[in-house]
Amino acid sequence: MSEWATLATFEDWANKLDELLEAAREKLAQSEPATDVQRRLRQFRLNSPFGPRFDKLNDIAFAAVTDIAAQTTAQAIERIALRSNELDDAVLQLRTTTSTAQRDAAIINLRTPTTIVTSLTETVGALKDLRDGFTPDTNQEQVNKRIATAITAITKLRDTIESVT
Amino acid sequence: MRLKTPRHAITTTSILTLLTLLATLTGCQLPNVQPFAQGVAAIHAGVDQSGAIFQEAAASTLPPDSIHLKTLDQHWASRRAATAALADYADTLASIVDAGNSGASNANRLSNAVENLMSKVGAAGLVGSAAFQIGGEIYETVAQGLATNSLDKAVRNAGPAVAKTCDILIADLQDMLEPIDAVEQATLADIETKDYINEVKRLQAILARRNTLLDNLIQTDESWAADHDAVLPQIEALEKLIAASTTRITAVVEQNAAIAHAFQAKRTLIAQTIAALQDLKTSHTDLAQAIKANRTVSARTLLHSANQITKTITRIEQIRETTDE
Repeated sequence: MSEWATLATFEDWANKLDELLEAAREKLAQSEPATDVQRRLRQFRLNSPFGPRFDKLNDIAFAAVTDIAAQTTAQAIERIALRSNELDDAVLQLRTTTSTAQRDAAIINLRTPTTIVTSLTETVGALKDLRDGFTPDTNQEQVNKRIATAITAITKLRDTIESVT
Repeated sequence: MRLKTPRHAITTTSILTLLTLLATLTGCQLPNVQPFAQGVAAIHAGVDQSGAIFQEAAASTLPPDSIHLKTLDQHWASRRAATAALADYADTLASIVDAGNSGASNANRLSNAVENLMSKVGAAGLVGSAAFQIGGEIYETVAQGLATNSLDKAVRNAGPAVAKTCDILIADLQDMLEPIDAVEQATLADIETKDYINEVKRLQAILARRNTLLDNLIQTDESWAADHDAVLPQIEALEKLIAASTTRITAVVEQNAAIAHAFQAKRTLIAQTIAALQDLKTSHTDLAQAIKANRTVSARTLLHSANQITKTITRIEQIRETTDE
C-alpha cells in the first residue's frame, strides 16, 4: 500500500508533510543525501487531493524540494573549499618536480649547448661583419647598421645565456 | 705544494669511468609514457567538464548573489590548475622519454652547430666530423641512461603529490554527485507545475469514474441492453477526456524523461572521471615500478577510462545541442 493511501483528512496530509520536512531537516543536519525525501515530496504533490488548502501544502512541498537542492549544493561547496589548501600544496610540489624534469629534458636534448652555440655563432658572424665593414669608403649609415646588428646579436646571446642558467 | 696528476692517469680514469657508465646504461629501456599523457589529458577534460556541470547546477539552485557561488568559482580554479599541472607533468615525462630516444640526432644537431661556429671563426675541421660521429653514437646510450634516471627521479618525487591530487579531486567529484541528484529533483519538480499536477489528478478522477461505470456495466448483466444504451455514451465521452488529458500529461512526462537522461549522462561523466583518477593513481605507481624494474608499462585501464570520458563528453554535448534546438 502506498504511503498516501491511508491519508484521508487535511490534518492527515498536513501531518505527513511535517513528517517529510522533519526527515529532510535531519538528513541535511547530518549532511546525508536527502534525494529520497525530495522524491517523496514530489509524490506528495501528485497524490494530495484537490483544493486551495492542499495547494498551500503543495507549495510548501515544492519549496522544500528546492531548498534541499540549494542546501545540499552549499554544503558540498563548503566541503570542496576546505580541501583547497591541501590541493594547492600538492600542486606546488608537482610543479616543482615538473620544472626540474623540464630542465633535465632540455639537458638530455642538448638544447642548452645547441642554443648557446647557435647564438654565439650569430654573434661571431655579426662582429666579423662589423670588423670587416670598416673600409675607407664605408658610409656612416652602413656602419650604424652593422653596429645595430652586432648589438642585437650580443643582446640575444646574453638573453640566451640568462634563460638557460 | 700542489701535485700534478700525470696526464695518462686522467685519461685512463676517464675512459674507465665512461666504460663503466656505458656498461651500466646498456640495456636501459625507456617506458612508453604517451598513453599515460593521453589518459591525463582526458582526465583534465573530464574534471573540467564535471566542474562546469556542477557550476551550472549550483547556479540553477542557489541565489545569484550567493556567497557559495563565488566560493565555488574561486576554489574550482584550483582544481583546473591541478589538472593542468598533472597534464604538464605527464607531457614533461613524455618529453624526457623523447629526449632519451633521440640522443643521436640531438648530438648531431649540436655537432652541426659547433661546426658552424668553427667555420665562422676560421677553425673548420679542427674538431673533426669523425669525432662528432663517435660522440653521437655514445651519446645515444648516454641519453637513454640520463632519461631513465631523470624519469625515475621525477616519478618518485611526484608520487605523493600525484596521489594527493588524485585523492582530493576524487573527493571533490564524489561531493558533486549528491547535489546533482538534488538539483535534478528540483528541476523535475519545477516542470511539474500546478496545472500539470491538477491535470494528473483530473485524469485519476476520470479514470476512476470510467472504471466504476465499466464495473457497474459488468455487474448488471441481466439488464445489460438497457444499461448499455445509457452508459456507453458516458464511457465514450470519458475516453475522449482521458485521451486529451493523456496527451497533455505525456508532453510533461517526455520532458521529464529528457531531463533525467541529461542528468544521468552528467552523473556518468563524473563517475567515469572518478574511476579514471583512481586508474591514474594506480598507473603512476606502476610506472614508478616499471622504470625501476626496466620493464614496459601498461596503461590499458587508464586509456579505457580516458576513452569513456571522451565518449561521454561528446554525448553530453549532443544532448545539450538537442536541448538548445
